[in-house]
Amino acid sequence: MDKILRINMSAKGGPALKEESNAKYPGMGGRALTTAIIAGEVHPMANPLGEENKLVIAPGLLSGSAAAMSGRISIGCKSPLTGGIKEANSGGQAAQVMARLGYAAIVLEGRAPEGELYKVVINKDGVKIDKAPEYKMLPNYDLIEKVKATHGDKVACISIGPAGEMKLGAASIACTDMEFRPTRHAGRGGVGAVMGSKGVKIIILDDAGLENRKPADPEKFREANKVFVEGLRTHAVTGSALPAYGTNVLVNLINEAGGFPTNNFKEGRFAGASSISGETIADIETKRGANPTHGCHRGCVIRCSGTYHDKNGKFLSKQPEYETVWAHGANCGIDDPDKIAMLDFLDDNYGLDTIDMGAAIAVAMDAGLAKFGDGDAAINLIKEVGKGTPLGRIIGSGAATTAKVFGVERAPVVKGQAMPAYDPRAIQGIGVTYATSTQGADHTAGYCITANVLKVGGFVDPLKSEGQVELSRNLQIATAAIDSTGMCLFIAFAILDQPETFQALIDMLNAFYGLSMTADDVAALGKQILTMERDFNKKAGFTALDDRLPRYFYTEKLPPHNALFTVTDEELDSVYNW
Amino acid sequence: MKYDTFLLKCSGSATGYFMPELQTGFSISAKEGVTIYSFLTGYCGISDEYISGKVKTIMIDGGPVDDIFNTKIHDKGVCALSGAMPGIVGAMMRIGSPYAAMRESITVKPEGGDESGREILVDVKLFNVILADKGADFLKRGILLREKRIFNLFIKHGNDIFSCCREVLFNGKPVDFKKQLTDGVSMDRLVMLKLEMEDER
Ligand code: SF4
Repeated sequence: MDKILRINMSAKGGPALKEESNAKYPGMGGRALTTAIIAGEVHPMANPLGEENKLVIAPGLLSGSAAAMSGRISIGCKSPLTGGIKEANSGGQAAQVMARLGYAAIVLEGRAPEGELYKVVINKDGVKIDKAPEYKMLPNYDLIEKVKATHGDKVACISIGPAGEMKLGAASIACTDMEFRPTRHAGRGGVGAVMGSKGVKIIILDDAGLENRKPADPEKFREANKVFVEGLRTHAVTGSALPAYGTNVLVNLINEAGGFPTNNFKEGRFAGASSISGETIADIETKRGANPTHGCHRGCVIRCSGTYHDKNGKFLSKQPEYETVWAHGANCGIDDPDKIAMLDFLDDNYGLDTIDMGAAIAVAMDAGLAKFGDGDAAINLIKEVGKGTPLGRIIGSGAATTAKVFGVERAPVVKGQAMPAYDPRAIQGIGVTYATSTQGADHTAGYCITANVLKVGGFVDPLKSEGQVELSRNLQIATAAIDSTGMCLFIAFAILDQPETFQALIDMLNAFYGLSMTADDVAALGKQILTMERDFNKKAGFTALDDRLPRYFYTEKLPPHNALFTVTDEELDSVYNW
Repeated sequence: MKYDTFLLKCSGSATGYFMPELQTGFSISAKEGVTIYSFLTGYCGISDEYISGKVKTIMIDGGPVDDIFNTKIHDKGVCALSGAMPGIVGAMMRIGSPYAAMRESITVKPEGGDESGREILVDVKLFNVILADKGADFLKRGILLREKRIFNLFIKHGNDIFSCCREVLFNGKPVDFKKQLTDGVSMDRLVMLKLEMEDER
């Protein structure tokens, strides 16, 4: 994995390919690499959909190896949704296959002439790029069916649906899963619109004839991987809760805490929560012959994903994630799991971020376009996006645009990106991350790996109450570092409680690359990434005023706790003091 | 207080139909002044070992609790039990979480309460692994539910539940549940619901 493939879509005479070594970005993978390339090579004032922007696709440092959980891929660009730097990441097979093909990154540069659409095919013999008019405006599932007919189902695909081709702000990039379905998405920030602006519909990755990447010290690597897997299997979250119920297991708990945004963030509890909880959906899946315990890529040992069947036992969608169940469920007042699964399917098919779409539909409901709780109306609104009608294009541009167009004050966004499934008035600490993240309102930016283990910003005494600002800072640093390894962030739960599992991860990296990194080095990497992202955003015009929640979170009380967001501006401004 | 009791003699597979009710909440009777720990061990029959090993989040009235030995439970309080949960927010909610500061505003702190020893009713909600591990035990020991909810459940899943039930007894006497269903209900009183699993006897 020592090459970077650059494809200049603006080149005279058609797209030009260039392969170079990754010597300019040594030891970087995943988010570290996407951020370094965007921060170093894209003008911060560039138009996100213009020629100057780049789309960088980078597997993690351990992707393509035998390391468990190493199949996450990072996709970076300047975001058309936030106007700042973006890293969205996804599971699926693409990271493993791309890494085996030897690429640390694929960089799409320039912009194809208006109306031209291309497919890129990469295998052990090289790279081919051809016009693909036959794929125009195909939804992801139809597209993948066509690819199956020509390339079989052993390849991995990175693609956009009609939303990406229309360059909508909520457009995602799909990655195929183990069953060759386009179910895993780099969802956030409109990365699909940037791929659409480059004129690339699909990248087909074929690793036939290639083997796993080899570690520098195979013996140490094998041993560390064993300890790592053992840690994941024995932990209560990664070994039991996530495989049994998926991420949606959080519904009941967050609802009980009064932090489950309902009817466009008007309440913190949803009366229909038990109908859409992870427990209930896993039960439906089992009864209908679907699979509630499933990995999104080979080598995942947690297996938090699953499949969801309709009433007739036919595949309808992947098991909807917690964020999707919230966005299309409680936030729109919908308590029917079948309708939520259909919305999930439509999002995946058109290539849309489920969080921003759920938030946009709830805003539209607030504007009177549909009634809260009306699942069929929500489905029709998403279909409008697929058809590309003017209404659909507005909704497909995300919650911020939808609120502006329809004059709705309650737009739950930061830096133009919709908030995920935790109300920051009930759970204030998450609000610090929403406000200050370089990525716009983002929950994964604050996903945790223990500050104690990483010892970033000092040791946190579990018996002493540390400030939420310090904790948010530490979590953001740690997350940026993990996003660079290619590891699924869900490993964080085992690492939180088991220092030996975290040590095993560092040992794996060291054994693979022949390094002697320490936990401090990992923390330093996280800080370096955030500093680059923050600097880029500053140069793109962001100020402290962009690190704020919308005003109504400070003034409108959220039942049942009747809570307001009370973290001061001074505290928010101190998050990046290091 | 003594409650009228529905006893369902059924196979273990019937418990699945009651799981949504156990998530939504049911009542358990206790004595005023009892701590959360004593409530769980003494009134809910959950062992000390299970509490320390598997119950990772306890909420009272929607607020996470860190000190279960000194925080008291009150009449009409809602006590939710969960195993270890994913995500930063899942981690924040845990008992004694190092991230407790991030949910400080909703944390429930120990405070003195009435210790009259009178009967109180506590709503209990079981989530995720706790539901899977302990749901059937609660049903066997008996839970208090508004009669209307039991009937609504039978209206929704009646045929499926009856196919798993050999007999339904009301205060020890056989009762024709199907007939009662067709008569319509609007009963707001609390009754005890118990399951006797025949395949476990
Ligand atoms: S834990 Fe879930 S998201 Fe992570 S790699 Fe496995 S299936 Fe994918």
